[in-house]
Amino acid sequence: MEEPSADEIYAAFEEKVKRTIYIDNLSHQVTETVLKNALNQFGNVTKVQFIPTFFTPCNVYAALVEMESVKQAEEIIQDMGDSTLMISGMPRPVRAQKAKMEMFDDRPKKHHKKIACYWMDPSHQNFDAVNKIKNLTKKHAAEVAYLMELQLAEEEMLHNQQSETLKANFKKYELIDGVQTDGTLKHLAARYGTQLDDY
Amino acid sequence: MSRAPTILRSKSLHTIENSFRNPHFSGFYPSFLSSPVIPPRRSHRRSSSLRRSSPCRRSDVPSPSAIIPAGSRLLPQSFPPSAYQNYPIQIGLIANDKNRVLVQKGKDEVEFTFQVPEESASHNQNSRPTSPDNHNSPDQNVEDYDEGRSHLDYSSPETRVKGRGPILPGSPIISNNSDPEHALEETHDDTPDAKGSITRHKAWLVAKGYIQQYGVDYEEVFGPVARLETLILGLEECNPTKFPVEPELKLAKVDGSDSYYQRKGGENLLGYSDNSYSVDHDDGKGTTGVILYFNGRPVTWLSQKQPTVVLSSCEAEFMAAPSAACQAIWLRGLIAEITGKEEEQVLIGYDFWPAFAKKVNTEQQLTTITNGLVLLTSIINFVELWVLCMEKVNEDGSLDFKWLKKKGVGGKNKEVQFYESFIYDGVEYMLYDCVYMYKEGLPQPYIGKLTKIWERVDKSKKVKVHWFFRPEEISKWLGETKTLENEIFFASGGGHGLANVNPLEAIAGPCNVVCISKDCRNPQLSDEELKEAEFLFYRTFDVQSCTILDKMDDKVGELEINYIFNRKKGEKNIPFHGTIDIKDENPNTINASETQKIITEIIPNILKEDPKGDPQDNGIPNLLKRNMESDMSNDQPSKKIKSVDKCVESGVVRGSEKMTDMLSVKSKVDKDEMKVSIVPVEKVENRKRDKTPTGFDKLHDQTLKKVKSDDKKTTEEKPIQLKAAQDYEKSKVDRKSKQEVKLPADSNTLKTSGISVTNENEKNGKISGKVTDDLEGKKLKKTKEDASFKVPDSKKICINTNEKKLVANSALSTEKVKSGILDSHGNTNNMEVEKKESGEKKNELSMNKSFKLSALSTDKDKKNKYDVFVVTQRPNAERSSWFGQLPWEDRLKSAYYHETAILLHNLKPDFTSGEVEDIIWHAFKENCDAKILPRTAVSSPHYVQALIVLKTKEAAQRILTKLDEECLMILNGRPLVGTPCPSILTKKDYSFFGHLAIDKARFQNQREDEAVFTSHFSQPNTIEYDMAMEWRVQQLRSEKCWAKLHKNKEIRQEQVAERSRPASITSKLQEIQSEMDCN
Repeated sequence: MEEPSADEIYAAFEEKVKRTIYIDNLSHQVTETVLKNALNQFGNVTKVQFIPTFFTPCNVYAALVEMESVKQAEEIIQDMGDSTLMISGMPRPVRAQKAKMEMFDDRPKKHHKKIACYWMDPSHQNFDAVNKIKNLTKKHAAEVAYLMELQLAEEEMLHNQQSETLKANFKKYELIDGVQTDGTLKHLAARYGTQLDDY
Repeated sequence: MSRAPTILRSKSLHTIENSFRNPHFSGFYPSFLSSPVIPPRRSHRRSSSLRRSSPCRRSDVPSPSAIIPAGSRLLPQSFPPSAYQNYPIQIGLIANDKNRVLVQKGKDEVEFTFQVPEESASHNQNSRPTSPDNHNSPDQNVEDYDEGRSHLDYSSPETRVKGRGPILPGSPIISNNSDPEHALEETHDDTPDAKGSITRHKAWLVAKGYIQQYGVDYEEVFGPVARLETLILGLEECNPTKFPVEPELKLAKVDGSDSYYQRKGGENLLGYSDNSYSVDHDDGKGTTGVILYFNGRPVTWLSQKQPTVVLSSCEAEFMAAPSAACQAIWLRGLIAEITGKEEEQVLIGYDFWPAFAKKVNTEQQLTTITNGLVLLTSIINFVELWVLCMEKVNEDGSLDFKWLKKKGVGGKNKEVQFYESFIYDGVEYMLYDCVYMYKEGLPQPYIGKLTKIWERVDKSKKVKVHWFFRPEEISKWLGETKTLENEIFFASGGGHGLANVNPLEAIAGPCNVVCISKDCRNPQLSDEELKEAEFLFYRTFDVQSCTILDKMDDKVGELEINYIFNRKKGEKNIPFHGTIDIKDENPNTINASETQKIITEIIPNILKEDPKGDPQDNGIPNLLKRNMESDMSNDQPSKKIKSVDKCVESGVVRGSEKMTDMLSVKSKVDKDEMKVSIVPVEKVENRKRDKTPTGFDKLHDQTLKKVKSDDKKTTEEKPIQLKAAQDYEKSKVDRKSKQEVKLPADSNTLKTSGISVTNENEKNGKISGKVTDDLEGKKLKKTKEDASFKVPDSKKICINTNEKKLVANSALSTEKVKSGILDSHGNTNNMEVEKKESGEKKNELSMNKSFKLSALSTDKDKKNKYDVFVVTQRPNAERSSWFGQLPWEDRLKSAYYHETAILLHNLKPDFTSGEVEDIIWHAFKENCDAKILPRTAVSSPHYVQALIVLKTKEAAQRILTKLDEECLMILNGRPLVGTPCPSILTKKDYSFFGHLAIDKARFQNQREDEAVFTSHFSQPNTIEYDMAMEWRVQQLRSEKCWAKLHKNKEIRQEQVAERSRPASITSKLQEIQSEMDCN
């Protein structure tokens, strides 16, 4: 009796996954409403769910956005891949991809799946090999953390660099603006006998 | 109400306004103008500094006394009605100069004019509507009305002065217009004369420009708002004449036909209510109609839309009826205040369904009125009726109460009746039951233990409740102390917070609390019972010193210890549980035994063998030796081995005789005897142990290292167990089983003894072990759930040497018994045969049997340990705490802080959080909270991680080390790896790069920001776009990095795994896998 319903649930879930896009590179200030508004331009958002971040190695602020249809979801991914969408700030664009099942922390159980475990006998010949795997796993966890760190460092570098650029640009434009507003430009134009367009 | 009110006059309207703005303004109405609000229910309880005082009833049905105290609150009891009986009613309205109130009164039109006298120091006598002369006098001065002149407050001079601030000498706000002395005189003028009529009024002082000051002259300001009823009633009372409203009032009926309520004469206050069901076709709401007659004339009537949609006309009626009652309550108070005599009863007619009318069940009758209306005019106190109605609405008719068992009488005059049990709300409660006590406004009900139940002369039922504390309640003092899931603390010590007396009605429901104390005096519970329990406790909280105590003395608070611990089986609802079991086994016993002289031995046993099993039953030395033998075969073999004492041996010999020969003994007796025998054996053992510590140690040296420590634990337990009689013997087993379940580290306990036995065996070269007697251990492992049931059985088996049938029984009963057990009993059967054959060897056999058994059990254990186990849903997975939990983030934070969080790696991507919890449960016997970390773009696509939060730091530590030292493999997967939870991200750790803003621009745009649409595509010709492209590049690069990292990881792991996966294991796994798939 339960099993078909479990199946159904799972099928519904799979369907939902297809309709969902995964968005990251989000600022921490992005709220559900903001995200909803942003994506409602492309289609109808039915649900927004943020993927919780608990600790530093997975310091990724991302969200799952469930759209009304699979088509919409695909289109958005296409659109966002082609051009750059800014949400709640610039110039870092958000990134969208298809959602995967594992991204949902509330995914339902596959009904026919059974789990079996065993404690490995220490006298077993493979015990050492398994231990090796365990160590590898830990090592990998460390690697992941390190890569995350690297990525953050890189991002920071880019950020700083861009902020410098922006400042310089801003200064430039401000200067131009100032020249225009305080009349210097006119003076200069008069002086050099050039015609100024309106502006 | 008793405070002298301020004089308010139209002149000083601004003062009023200010007063309203004053935060201290209480919005208090003069008593007779107050609106008909039912006084809030008050719970009558004491408060203690530490904790709640008495909780009140969960149900919304107020007890009659709670709704309205005896007499109306609107009328102060202290005030003698005669004092104001002579007073005519005063009617007043605060008004601006435009206000005029016209009230038709008989033929006369009475005009109340509210004019602002300018600087008039009018010393008019108060004009009252009652006096016809004054009505017509043009300068009628209603402004003299001061609402506080409710005749109550002028009885004492103090209040008078208090309310008369401006005229106090030295008052800073006295204006130039009047000198203080004069004012003071005026004060005296204002007092009522001997007859009680007021001769002078002070309002003119205010008119003259005195301003009163808040806090000095007055503290409360009343906004005099008159309800129309007051006016009408006032007129009614003063001079009953023809009233504009006809007595026959038409109320709308939904079917279109008009129905008239016939007014009944005679009664003073009479009310009718009716409703029209779903009149409004737009929103489906009905209309409530209420009319109240006083002295045959309608004084209050209302016809208003009901606030909510109801489902039936009956329900609509239930909505209408209370509003009539409310009105009546208020009106009654008002009338009482005016007339000075309280209405004894109010008739309220309800249009009820006949069915309900019957249920009212008072000796009153129904009156049928026109058009099929059933008018219920029960001449009962309307409050009670109202309560009845409310009860009906709540469909809570089951709030019945019944005393069951009396205990005795007490109190000074023996007027207090104590009880042991009662039925309330359909539930039977007994003394020392645990209950929920509900208190309004609290998210969770309190938990307490009933320690006394009694009824006083006034029929009020009281219970004394000894409290339990939830960890949250005493978190302040808990500090670092870890608590189990659902653990609560029993209050101990003395003083506040230990226990309170509460009304019995405050009990919200029964609560299943069990004691898991390892204390020997505490009957241990089976796993099943533990599972059923809502709360556990084994520690107490001292309310004096605010500390957690692990130990319980003979008395905790005022309670004997045996009332605190679990009830013994025999005392439960099925009184002689134990004996029932015995009877079941009787045939076996008879079969197996032949009797002789034993009866003589048995008699004393029986005497001592109280089914209730007093804990003090322990020491009967002479008996002990005699009966030792029967237990020898089943109890901890390691100890027996070294008890090569002659005395014991002789006992054994005798025992074996007995065993074989027990034939015609009454099986029950036999059984009892057996049970008793258990106790002494242990005692002997222990004595032995104490005497020969060296031998014991040696024994231990031969065993494994780890085993040793475990064994010590077992032996430590022993002396405790001695104290108990057969009940305890049972419970001991239970306890062991519990340990097995709870502390797998300890799981070797039984094995230990087994191993040591084997060693010993080998030394002696007597027998090679095959069979297991240590059914306990194994069964527990395999079928934890049924341990409590089976284990005692297996015990009995050994005693009676009736293995076959009983084991079969237990196998049947549990279904889960695995082949190992069957083997074992098969073997024991064989042994039994042997035993019978060779009388000489019987003794040895009986001794050695256990050795063999345990030896096998160790093998078994070892094998089991590395068996593949299928992870099913853990037994109590569904049980969630029904009071809600903190959000996961918060729990994780605290878990991180307390080091109870673990990060698990190498989980398969399709695992759910629940499955992880199941795995942990099966592998470590720990309940945990798991959360699969959702995959992100940077996490590995192959395996996922999960966070688990354990209950205690120890548990987390244990799991970590166990995962580290040993290997928990997931079938077709990777070994599970656990690492401590990495540092939790806090708000300030959030770093996000890549959003730039120009300071100035941001400043300018700040206001717009909220409203502005916060997302956009950047245009290709902007700086922003260029930068965005840079980010894109960066994103792609990191994406590649991650992919590569994960791929490399995977390859490396796969390589190792490939090498390590031998054919044998793989095939086995595949086998199991396919088997599982088939299922």
